[in-house]
Amino acid sequence: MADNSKGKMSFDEIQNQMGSLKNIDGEFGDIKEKVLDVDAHSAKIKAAGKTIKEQVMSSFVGIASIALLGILAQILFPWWTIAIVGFWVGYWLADTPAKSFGYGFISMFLIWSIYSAYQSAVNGGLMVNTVSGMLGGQLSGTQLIYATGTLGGFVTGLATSSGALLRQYLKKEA
Amino acid sequence: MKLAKLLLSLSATIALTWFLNAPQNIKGAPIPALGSLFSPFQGYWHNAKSLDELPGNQIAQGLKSNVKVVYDDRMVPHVFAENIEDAFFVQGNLHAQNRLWEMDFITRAAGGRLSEILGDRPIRVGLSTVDVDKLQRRRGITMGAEKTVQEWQAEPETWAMVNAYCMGANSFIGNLDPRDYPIEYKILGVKPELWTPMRMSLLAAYMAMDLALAENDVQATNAKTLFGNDFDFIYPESFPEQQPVVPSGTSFKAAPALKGATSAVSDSKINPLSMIDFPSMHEDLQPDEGNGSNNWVVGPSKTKNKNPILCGDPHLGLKMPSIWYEMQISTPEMNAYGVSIPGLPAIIIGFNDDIAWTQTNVGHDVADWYAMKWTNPSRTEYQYDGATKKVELRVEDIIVKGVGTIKDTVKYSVWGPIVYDNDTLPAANMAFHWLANDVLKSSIKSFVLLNKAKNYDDYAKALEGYNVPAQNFAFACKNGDIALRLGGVFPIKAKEQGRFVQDGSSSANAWKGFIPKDMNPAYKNPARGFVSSANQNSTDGSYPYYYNSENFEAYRGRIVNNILSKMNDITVDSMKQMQGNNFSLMAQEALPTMIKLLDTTALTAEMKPLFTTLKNWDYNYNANEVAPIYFEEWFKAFYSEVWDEVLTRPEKDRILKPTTWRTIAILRGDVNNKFFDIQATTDKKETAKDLLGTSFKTMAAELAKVQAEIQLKYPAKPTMIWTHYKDTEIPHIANIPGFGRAHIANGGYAKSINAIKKNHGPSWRMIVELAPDRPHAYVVYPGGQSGNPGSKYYDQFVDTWTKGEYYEAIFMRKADEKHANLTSVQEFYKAQ
Repeated sequence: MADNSKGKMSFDEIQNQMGSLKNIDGEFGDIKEKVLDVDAHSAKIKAAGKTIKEQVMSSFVGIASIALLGILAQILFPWWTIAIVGFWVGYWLADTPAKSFGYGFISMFLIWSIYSAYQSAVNGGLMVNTVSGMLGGQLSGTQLIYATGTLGGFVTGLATSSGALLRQYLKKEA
Repeated sequence: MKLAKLLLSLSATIALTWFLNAPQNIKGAPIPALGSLFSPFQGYWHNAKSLDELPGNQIAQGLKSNVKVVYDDRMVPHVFAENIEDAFFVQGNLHAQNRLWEMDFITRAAGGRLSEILGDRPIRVGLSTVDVDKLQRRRGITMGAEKTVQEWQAEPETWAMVNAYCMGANSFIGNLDPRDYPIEYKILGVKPELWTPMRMSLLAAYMAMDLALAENDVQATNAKTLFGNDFDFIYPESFPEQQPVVPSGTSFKAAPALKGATSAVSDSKINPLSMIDFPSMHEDLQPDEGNGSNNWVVGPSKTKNKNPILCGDPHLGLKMPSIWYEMQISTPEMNAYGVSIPGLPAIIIGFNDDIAWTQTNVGHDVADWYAMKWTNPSRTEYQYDGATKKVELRVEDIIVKGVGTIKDTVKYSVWGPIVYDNDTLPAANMAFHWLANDVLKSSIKSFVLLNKAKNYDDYAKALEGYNVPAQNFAFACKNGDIALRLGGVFPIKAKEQGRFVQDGSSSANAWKGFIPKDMNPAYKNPARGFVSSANQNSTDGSYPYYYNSENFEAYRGRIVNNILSKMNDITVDSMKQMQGNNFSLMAQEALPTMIKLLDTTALTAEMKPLFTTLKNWDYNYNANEVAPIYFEEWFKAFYSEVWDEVLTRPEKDRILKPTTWRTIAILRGDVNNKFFDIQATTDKKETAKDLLGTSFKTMAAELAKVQAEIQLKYPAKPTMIWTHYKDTEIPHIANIPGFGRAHIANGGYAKSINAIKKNHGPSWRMIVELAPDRPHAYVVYPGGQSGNPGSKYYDQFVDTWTKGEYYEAIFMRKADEKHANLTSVQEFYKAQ
């Protein structure tokens, strides 16, 4: 019999043990869920109980930490280290994969687009117009800035959600 | 399930990051490493330099003393150094700072290393980067460049300058953070290389290729096969109206006797039974026919201020960045201002306190083909003077990006390399003998001596060591001396030697040595008060040596001389106007006859206005006129009808085209000449009159096509004007779209002084008045000092150049001189 003293049993395992209770599901349904997966249950309560302020705070922590570490990494190392930063921050935050993607994406979208927009502005748009010309004029300068942000954001977002997924996976294994 | 999600997400992240970090090739379309290219921390955004960023001070290992660079508002550096080696060190650094990609790319192309950075990529149908690389090696470029390095090495003074220059360039390249690589490297995903004497030598070879590789041996041989006895009538080597560089009447010394050589050339005119077929790349990769230039100097007798005025505008392929980098180099021994070539030391065209000089291309044919008598099927043995000789083999490693190394074995005969060694076109397995592979190319010492020269004697002495590419050096001195001298080494040839493919089995067909330098055509202070050149023939027939070219210019030289001989009280302003002159002597010589002979009764109502426009035209190729379009189209159609003998043949590209000049001369001299007969119409014998009528109709019909093309290029305002028809552009040196300048509005064409063609023309315009107090110079080039397309200095001068305007050069004498337009200082401190 699996050790369920710490409430770490999976739903399937519990369900097998409680096969006899199938018929009174209706009555015990709520309890079953609450008892059987304490982690999920507490997370649910936590989320439900999160004030908007707390949610904003945790998003801010996610975005800001990726941004700060990301900037540092890109100053010292090649651009692709944003993926490593995103991955570990995603792991560390232990948030849902979807939210993690959002943190990574927003963070690097902002960094890449703001920094490229800044460099383009002090340059009077000369370089961005040249690159726009190179691409056959299909993207304007502003669109290039968005494209840049999206590129950086997408890579980082993917990496961050991978980090979150790893955390979930390891949690289950432990 | 969770594991699957994790693995999916993780592999997607890794794959995407990897994809974005390396250049990709999707269905043959190269795609740069988008992640690194778009990253604002290291990609192209990082090359978007602040508009007011100025170069910072540097500590440089290898300097003997500190060097100060003062910049003016056009970013022209004025280098003040204690000695010439330090000056060249800093020049190397500045060239690399501003034009690294250009230096690197040109030398890789010259040395047959394009596929190393571009991969095996088609340049056009049937011609790839690997083909071009092979051709460079097989022309003997790398072999010749190695020889030049050895010769530099043998001259301690030159070697010290070469090394100082390389050290300076490498003080920049070696310390360059990959984030600061020029954008082209980021797009192509390649790294810059350190600068070396070999690369300098390859750059010199590139200049030689551009200016001294023109030859038409195969085409002339085929034309002779085709026309037989009429060849001399269609293709005369000179014509009576020509005004040679050194004016007729100048006396030449008698040629010294040649030791042990006969003047006869055995079998120099090969008459093969069939036309020689050559790989089509042969025509593709010939230097531009329009490579040429103008220079002239008016002496004190003809100028308003009684100072000599020197004018020069070398015509080269127009590229971004420009082949020129403007600068001043000042040391205790010299103080020269002008243009330099990024990758090489010294000022190439310019002036100093005392003198000014500027070049045009001489253009003699110094590249000859020899038909070999191979004695074995693998073509490694050939007959030479009755004996069998083996070729020497040289293995060339061609690195191809994404593929690996291709080994190409080049065969060398006594004459030179077998360029098109192949089984499919047996006649093309000829040996190539090019002067630039025999002799020292970039005469660095000559340019240094010119930079230092104070008078005529210094100038003449500087040119003694100058070899290739041969140039007409125009000269002015503030003491009033003006002169023009051919700088270069020239082979001694028998009459018509090297005009056709020669028999390679006999040493009798070799050049008979080199013309002594003091026999090079030259003249000084002529009675007419000016000297000039514009790529025409160098001398009249009284010059004791034979030389040849099918490309001598027929018109520009005469226009220059006609204008100058009538001009007096010349000022800088009148010279500016003259450099922008769009007049066509060719049109003036051809059009009245064409109009006179045209049967106007056959013209339709639509054609009559065209005729009237042409009749009222003043022969100026001005930007906003329509007449030049009509004339160009009419003459083009007429020419192709006249020379149907050549142009309707399948091998037309391998046959020498009769010159425009000769065509007009025949038209004016003999309207019933047999060449006006169209071969296809056997029942009728056409005359020039018939051809002018039909070609006028062709022109009128072509105009709709012309209009459609203009509509495409100028949709906003598709007017039928010359500039829209010509559509001048300055493409990027590696043809990266958007990096060049397109649709440049200007007048002029190949045969006017203002010789701006589609992407070829005056690459530098300079006018220097050598006043007693200081030189007053007015300059411009189509480009800008920076090679970074994200810099405002990238194309800063293009509009000024387009408008025919100039900048006044700031000629400094001291580093601390005050001038309103001096903006900043960059110090190079020697490392302690």
